[in-house]
Amino acid sequence: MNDARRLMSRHSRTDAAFLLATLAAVIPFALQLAGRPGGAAGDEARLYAGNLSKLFFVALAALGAIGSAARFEADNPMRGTWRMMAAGLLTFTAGQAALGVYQAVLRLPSPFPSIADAFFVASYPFFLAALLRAIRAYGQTGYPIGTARERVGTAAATAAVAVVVGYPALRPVVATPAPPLELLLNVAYPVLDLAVLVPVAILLRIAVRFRGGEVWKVWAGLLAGFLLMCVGDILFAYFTAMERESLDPLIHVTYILSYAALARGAVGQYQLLK
Amino acid sequence: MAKTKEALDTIVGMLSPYLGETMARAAAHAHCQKLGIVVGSPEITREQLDALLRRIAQGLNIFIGREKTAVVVGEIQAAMGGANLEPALPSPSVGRDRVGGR
Repeated sequence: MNDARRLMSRHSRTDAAFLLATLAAVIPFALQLAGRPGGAAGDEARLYAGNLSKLFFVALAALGAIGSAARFEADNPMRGTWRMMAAGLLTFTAGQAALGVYQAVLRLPSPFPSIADAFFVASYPFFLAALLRAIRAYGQTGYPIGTARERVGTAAATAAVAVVVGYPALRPVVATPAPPLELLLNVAYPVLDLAVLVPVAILLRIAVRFRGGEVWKVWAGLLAGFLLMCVGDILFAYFTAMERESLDPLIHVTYILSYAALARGAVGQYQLLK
Repeated sequence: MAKTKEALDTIVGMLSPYLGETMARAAAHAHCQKLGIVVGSPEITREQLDALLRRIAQGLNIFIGREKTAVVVGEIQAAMGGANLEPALPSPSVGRDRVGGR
């Protein structure tokens, strides 16, 4: 069996494991959305499934990114990309761990804002740097990935869409009276996400040319993860402002899917290098 | 000398699991064009094949690292019947072809 076949077989097993783990994590929330919350046992299941799965997936993503950065050679442009990605994911993991302590250990409703938000916000510059470095690295492959002009066009179009989507979604958030820091964070998360979406869209347009290959799976996972994170943050800000707590399970599902996709991408890159 | 179409099909087949068939084919053809290799020509010289593999390896390094690229290139060479090609593994940050480049 050649190396590519061994790799594909290993990746199929990884896909199946991720699918099962993700399904197990979202089922308690899906049942609640379907009107079958399951009483106190359901609440407990959601508390632990939600916290543990998010922490597990984001920590796994961080480990995959650290492993990938370590395996790329010192002069490989992707090493910097994965170092930045690892820094962002580690910071993010710290935030998620802090939330988990409030919710699952101290059994308190997680305060907002909290120390977790400091970690979450701090992770964005790393993510932005990682994605911008990835665009530059793709450009160095010499493969036909499109022109710089196309990339500028994609960036401009995505920025325009971000404004069109972001403005109406954030207007009620800004209009709702809230403590200054809470208001700032409710606006900052979606704005930072939309900023991240610009390089994500450029990378998606490049990566789609690799459809059918393992490189595509890595970047499809990472980019889907960032897209879902953006959706989750917009839903969180919107539902908080509109006091629609009944839709919280949808936010949890979105975050779990986001972190699982990020982990699949990072682990996929690590497996590609092994 | 090897048949150009067969050589390209082998390269594309070996790269497809990593890059996807569309990109594998597009990359191979783009590099052929840059190296002055006529895709429709009946035969490709060993020097041209060397240069082509070296160019392809430069890009592949960035996605799967140099070590794994060496394995893939080795498999391509083996699939071409031990074409006795020279190692086609430049550093990703260097990489100017000495043979057939513009």
